[in-house]
Amino acid sequence: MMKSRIQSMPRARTAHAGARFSSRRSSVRARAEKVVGIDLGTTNSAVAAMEGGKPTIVTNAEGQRTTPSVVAYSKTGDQLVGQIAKRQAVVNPENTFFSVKRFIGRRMEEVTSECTQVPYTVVRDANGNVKIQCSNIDKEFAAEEISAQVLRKLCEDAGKFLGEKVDKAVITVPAYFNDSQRQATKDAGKIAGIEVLRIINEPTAASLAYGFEKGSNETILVFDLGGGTFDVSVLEVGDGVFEVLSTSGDTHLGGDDFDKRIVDFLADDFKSAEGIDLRTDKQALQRLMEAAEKTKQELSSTTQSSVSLPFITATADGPKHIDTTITRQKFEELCADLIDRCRIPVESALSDAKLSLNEINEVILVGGSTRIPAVQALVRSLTGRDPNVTVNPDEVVALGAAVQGGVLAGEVSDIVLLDVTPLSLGLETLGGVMTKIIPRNTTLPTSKSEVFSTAADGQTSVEINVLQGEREMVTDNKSLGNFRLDGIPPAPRGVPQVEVKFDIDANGILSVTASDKGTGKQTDIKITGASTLSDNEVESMMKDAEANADADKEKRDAIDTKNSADSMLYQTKKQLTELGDKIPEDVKSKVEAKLGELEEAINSDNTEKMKAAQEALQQEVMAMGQSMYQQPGADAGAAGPGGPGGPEGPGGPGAGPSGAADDVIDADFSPSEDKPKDK
Amino acid sequence: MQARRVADTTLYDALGVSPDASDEDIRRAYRRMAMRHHPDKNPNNRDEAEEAFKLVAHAYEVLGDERSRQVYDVYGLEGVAGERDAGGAGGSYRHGADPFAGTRDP
Repeated sequence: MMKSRIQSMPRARTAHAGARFSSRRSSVRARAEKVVGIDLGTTNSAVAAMEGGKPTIVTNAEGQRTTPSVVAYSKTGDQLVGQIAKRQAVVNPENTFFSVKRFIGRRMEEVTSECTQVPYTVVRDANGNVKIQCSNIDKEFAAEEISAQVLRKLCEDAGKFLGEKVDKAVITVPAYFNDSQRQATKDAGKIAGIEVLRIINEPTAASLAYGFEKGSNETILVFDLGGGTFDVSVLEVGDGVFEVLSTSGDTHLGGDDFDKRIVDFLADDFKSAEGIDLRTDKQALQRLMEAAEKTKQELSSTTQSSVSLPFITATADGPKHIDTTITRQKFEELCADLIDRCRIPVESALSDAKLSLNEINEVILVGGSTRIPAVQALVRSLTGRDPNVTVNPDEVVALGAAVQGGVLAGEVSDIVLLDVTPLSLGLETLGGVMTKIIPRNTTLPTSKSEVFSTAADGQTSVEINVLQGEREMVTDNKSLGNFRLDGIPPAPRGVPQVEVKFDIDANGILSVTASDKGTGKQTDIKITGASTLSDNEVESMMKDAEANADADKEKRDAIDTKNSADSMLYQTKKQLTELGDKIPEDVKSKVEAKLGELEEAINSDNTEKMKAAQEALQQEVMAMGQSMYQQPGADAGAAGPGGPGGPEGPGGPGAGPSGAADDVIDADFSPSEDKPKDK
Repeated sequence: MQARRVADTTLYDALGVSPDASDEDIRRAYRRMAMRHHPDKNPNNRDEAEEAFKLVAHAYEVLGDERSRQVYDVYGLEGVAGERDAGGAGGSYRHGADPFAGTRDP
């Protein structure tokens, strides 16, 4: 499960380390390639790209600027992504996966409370990682795979919008995501067939979008309360340099939690009145959750909101309904402790940045949950100023990711982002304590080293356990990987000198080297994330996803073919009737024969046969058109042979005959080329 | 004006400022150097840039903080060692005889 690879690396790392990445980097630099910025959110995602030197939101296939981060599998095994998946959640709660960002890169013991909040089934796999069960297709998914499906849709839609293939992206994550969650997000990109050029922090991205055109020097605080996570970052912006001073957050706090409070309130209320716990009924729970989200949103602009859930369940007495009103005051009371929790990260971010409140020039709100009036009030009371509301909290993160994409692609030249490591990195030392080597909020890239010694007399090897986190004890922090340095000459304890060097590059990849100063011997480890998935797993999921995408294409092709075959059958029959005996008998019988074949192919549901039969019929219909044209006295019109010959593709043949017919007989139909559905 | 006497000027040199530089001078110099040396700005020689950037960032880490700048002015790189491998030469056992814990002798 650990992807870290132990390899020997020469002490002078500069030249060698470079060679490893150079091929990838050079491909990144091709200016022509579009790099999109993706805000892969807990509840909604957004995509942006640099268009004409400005970051611009890319709308999805449904014409929306954000896409629900929801994936569902229908009873027939069809995969649904986005709005279409969200819409059917009530009738398919166990196979509709939302908020998977709460599970990505997590181990089961880290998400026990999250597991109980979703109507789908979350299980622990053999390695203790989170897996999501899908009963409709009898499969267990990693959270990475679900996110990959969202990413795939986002990129496919963006590709259509931009008119070019999109396979390179900058993806954002909450600033407070640990290495494992970041790596998992990268893996999701890989599974989706996307090259993730950089993972950047959401609040940092927001600041990039905000400061992109301002050019002024200021210190800003980004308050980012999203669907599932809460981040605070303090940045200094000036001379095109975006320098993150500090970052803090809470990865278990977001809009979902506010919804949950309303759900619990309604469910508890109902239970005391009717004695039924609606939370045990997955469909009722899903309806409650949707109602709660709607109520929460409404309460941002109104002071009370009605909740009406007819037929929520039934008892022996008959159907039961929920029909009640929640006031904003009640909502705030229900969520008071959640809102209060936002206080801590703001305070610690400020103290880490060694700044006082009056040194902050601007407070920027990001994330849908910052629309909640009580949250805005808290920000106001914490910072003593009105927050900046000029940016769209749902879009600003994607826009900023697009700016960073532009920087990496060489399109944006006058900006550089200096991000930091959000959590301290260190190693395990005597007594199970963590010794920090790189403190949190250190600017990247960076390298730091320290010299250690042995704990016992005659000790010949040391084991290095690389850790991430802020706690004193090893067990409270996240272990990113282990390696061992052998061959230390036996000596009294405390004598050998082992230098441990931590190195993080601009991509956030951590390498750790240990060398014995006595012998010059050294070993190292490259931590590509304490990933929850192995390389092999990612590889096989990638193939799986590609196969599914192919299967989806085939399915779509089958449906398109059937539709065009149906339409061609109908049009040709209509034409035959309309033209009647104007058609020479021999031509007519040929057409009818091919019509029969096509009808048979449609009935047998065979896509290939349908395609062949359509083509054959097309030939005969063209011949028919020609024969009409050649008849003496026929009102030939312009489109006789030309009309049917023009269009091609599945829709073309069906449209052809109608074109011919229109010109000859009547003008009820517009020319085939004008029908968008035929394209 | 006579330049201030400092123990070492390596970090000032990294930012291209004199030891007399004001906080604001240092900040501006850091931004200028960061823009020049950040690996994202040097796609064709990322590794050299990365090393150069790390030195610049380290210089700012020390000089951008009033206290650590004072220590550096008096004691030079030795004074701020342990912060980075460049200063690691001092070989400080920062945690005393604090050996590896994970180092149960196999």
